[in-house]
Amino acid sequence: MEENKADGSQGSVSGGQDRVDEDNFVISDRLVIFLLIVFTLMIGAWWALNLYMGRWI
Amino acid sequence: MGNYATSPSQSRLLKAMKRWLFTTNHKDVGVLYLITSLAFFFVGGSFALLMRTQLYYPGNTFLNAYYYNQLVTSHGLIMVFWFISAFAFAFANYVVPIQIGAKDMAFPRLNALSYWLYLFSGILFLSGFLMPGGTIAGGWTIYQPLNTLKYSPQLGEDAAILGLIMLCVSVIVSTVNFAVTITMKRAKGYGWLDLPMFTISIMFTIMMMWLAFPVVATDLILLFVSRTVGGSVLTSEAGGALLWQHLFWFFGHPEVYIVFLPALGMMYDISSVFSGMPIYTKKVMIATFAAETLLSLTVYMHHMFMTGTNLFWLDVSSVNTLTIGIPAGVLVLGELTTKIDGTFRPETPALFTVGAVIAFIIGGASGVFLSSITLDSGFNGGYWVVAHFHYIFVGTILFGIYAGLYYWFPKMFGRMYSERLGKIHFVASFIGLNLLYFPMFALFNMPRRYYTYPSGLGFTLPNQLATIGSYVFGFAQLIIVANLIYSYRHGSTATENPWNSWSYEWLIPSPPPEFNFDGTTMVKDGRLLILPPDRHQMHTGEHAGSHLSPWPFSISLGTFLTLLGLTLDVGGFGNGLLAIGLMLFLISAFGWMIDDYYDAFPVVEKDGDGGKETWPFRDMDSRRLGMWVFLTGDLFVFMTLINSTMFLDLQVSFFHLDPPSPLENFANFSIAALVLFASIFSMYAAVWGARNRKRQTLAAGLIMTIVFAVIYIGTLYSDWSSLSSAGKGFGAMATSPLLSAFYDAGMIHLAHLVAGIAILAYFAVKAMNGNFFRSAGTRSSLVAFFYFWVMIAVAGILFTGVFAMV
Repeated sequence: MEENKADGSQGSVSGGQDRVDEDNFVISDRLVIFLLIVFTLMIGAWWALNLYMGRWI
Repeated sequence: MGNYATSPSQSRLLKAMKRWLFTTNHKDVGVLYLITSLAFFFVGGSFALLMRTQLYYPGNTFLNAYYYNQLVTSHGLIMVFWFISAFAFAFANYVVPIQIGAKDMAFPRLNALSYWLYLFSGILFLSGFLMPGGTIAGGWTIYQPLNTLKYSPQLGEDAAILGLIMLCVSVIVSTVNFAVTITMKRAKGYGWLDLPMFTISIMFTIMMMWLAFPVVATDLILLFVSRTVGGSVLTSEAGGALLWQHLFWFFGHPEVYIVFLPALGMMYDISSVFSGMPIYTKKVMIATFAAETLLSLTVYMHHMFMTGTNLFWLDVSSVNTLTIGIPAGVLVLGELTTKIDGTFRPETPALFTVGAVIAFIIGGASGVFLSSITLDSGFNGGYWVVAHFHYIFVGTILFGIYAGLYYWFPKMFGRMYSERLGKIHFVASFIGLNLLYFPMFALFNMPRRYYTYPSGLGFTLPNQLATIGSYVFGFAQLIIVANLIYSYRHGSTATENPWNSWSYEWLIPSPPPEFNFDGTTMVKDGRLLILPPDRHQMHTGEHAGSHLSPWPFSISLGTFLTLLGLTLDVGGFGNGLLAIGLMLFLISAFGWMIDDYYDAFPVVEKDGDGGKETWPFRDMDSRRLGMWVFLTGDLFVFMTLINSTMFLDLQVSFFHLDPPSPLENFANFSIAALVLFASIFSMYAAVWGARNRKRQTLAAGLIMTIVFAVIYIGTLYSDWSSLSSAGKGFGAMATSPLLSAFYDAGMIHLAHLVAGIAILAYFAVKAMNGNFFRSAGTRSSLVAFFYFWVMIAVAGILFTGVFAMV
């Protein structure tokens, strides 16, 4: 495996399981984090709206 | 350090103790979870049997109200928090890393920490029964003001609350670990949509967990503060009781789906295997999981129909709740079609999935009634609700996970279970389930949670049927224990793949070897290839390294002793437990930090190549992703505090309560917040120094950050003391909800800062000794810490703004 070639650098140790097809995986990683932030903020905003609408006054 | 392997001369018992106390292997942790969660199941189940015995006759005196209330509350909390979720995560621990082609979790020590925190939190919770006044008795939803000190003065309630907080920490740690494991540790070429449904369901489950559990942890901290220091966020007349419901149900409703989705994921995989067909429209089912996840976070106000808040908004909740029925229906159709499409093999796991689908239809349909505000006003306080959610929790979720237990038992223990006993267990459980819960629909007008009922109202017969059903169900559960113990000792040997399954855990021997796969894994054309270990890996001694660590166990023990000591101190039984526990905790935390675990156990250390992406995605690796996940959860801690403050502010002005401005000296405070904000830059200088191998810059940046943080804490201290001299100290929290919110937020922020300073000091010492650049992992920790620090600084600015406005 090309990614596992031992050339002594840190990168080669990692190789293996962490990285899929490098380019694809990078995109999906970014996408995951982007979605994570959007999802969190969206739900947080929704919750705040519920608290505002669901008050006793 | 790092290598805790046993020598051959040690006795067998000592070896076994070392293995099970210090293990960080995901499979061992999974087995520990399995055994512990089943133990909690029998504890919670025996509570239920006691309650059903009490309800057999009208006017029975077997239990009095005092014990009944404690049992009904503890039954709910133990089953929801300590049994059903942990039972599913036993399999998640064991199976998910193998299914994705990994050798272990991303953070094996954190995995062990989760388990030990979980176990000790349960012990702390149960210790409440032995404390003066008994344990928590105000219902599993812990509504206010019933659970304040005034109405629930028993000391056991404090122990229970601290136990729950400890459990929440365990769950948050698990969340980070699973999110990173599934994202980063998949075999090469293994796409998201190709994963088995169980792994996908765990991914969606943790998405809910990382928002819900930080919130409930914060709620419980607020409650503990109000019971001990006297805070009034949850007890004020200005809507404290309503606020608790908002805070609790924001967690409480997703929690239902948190326990539901893993069971559903198992059921899909099992149905597919036992009908010999692929999952029917798998992509649609995944989209449906996503819809359930999103909707579960938007419907919590249907638990609050009877609170008398804004009717329009309750209607919105009602409509959202009805909408959830659509994906739920699609899920049932997918499950049934998968079964019907192929040739169905009626073996025990498959039978349990059939039982689960039937129970889900009954439980789901009865739940739709409750989404109507009109009907809910009648059903809300009665046994209809009990029948509904037990059909879901027991009939669907427990049966679904039982299917998983039978399915993976051969893989976990290398033996086949007894098929005959399995079938008897299924039939007895299914009969018991329906006999137990179906009569409860007829009790729709009998108030729930009451310890007795009068005769002559038609309640007696359904109650007696339910009690008989509960004994049938309870004894049926002894069959599975007998089956598991017998089969573990005498069962026939299991082959690699007894079920003809297609997911990757069935490619390796049963039980799997220590590191699962003997080599690097990759997926190509839907097949898992195991490439022989390369030269480099062999040189690093991958398979020789022991990965036992004593620190997860001792940190959890320290936390347990600290919290138990704290409870006893609160009750005036001062003793040294608090100090001993705290010391053990600190020593263990330090031991954890300096342990060269990853050097001894390199299989889990996989740093990214780096340099390919722009900030903040550069060098994304397990630690940094883990920190992102943790921080989004932490954001919800701060959001809970800010949302509560805003909510109280609206209410306080309406109730004409005198709102004292919590910020005595805004100018001082905002300067301090700016100083803290400036420390982001000194921290970045440290990161820059680490990246460019400039030792002085690194050390100076770290020390400057500490100095800035200390300045902030000093300002906080002077502000609090001037507030105190103006009569707005901790003592005034009891009368001012906003002041309580201010101190709660300040304390939680301060706790973050103190933890941050401790880590900074450790980094600084390490940087000055010059051994910081040895491994890329250390630099990665530094960057992850930088994200954490940004979060703290931004929270400081946010809090200042919010409390200046109210």
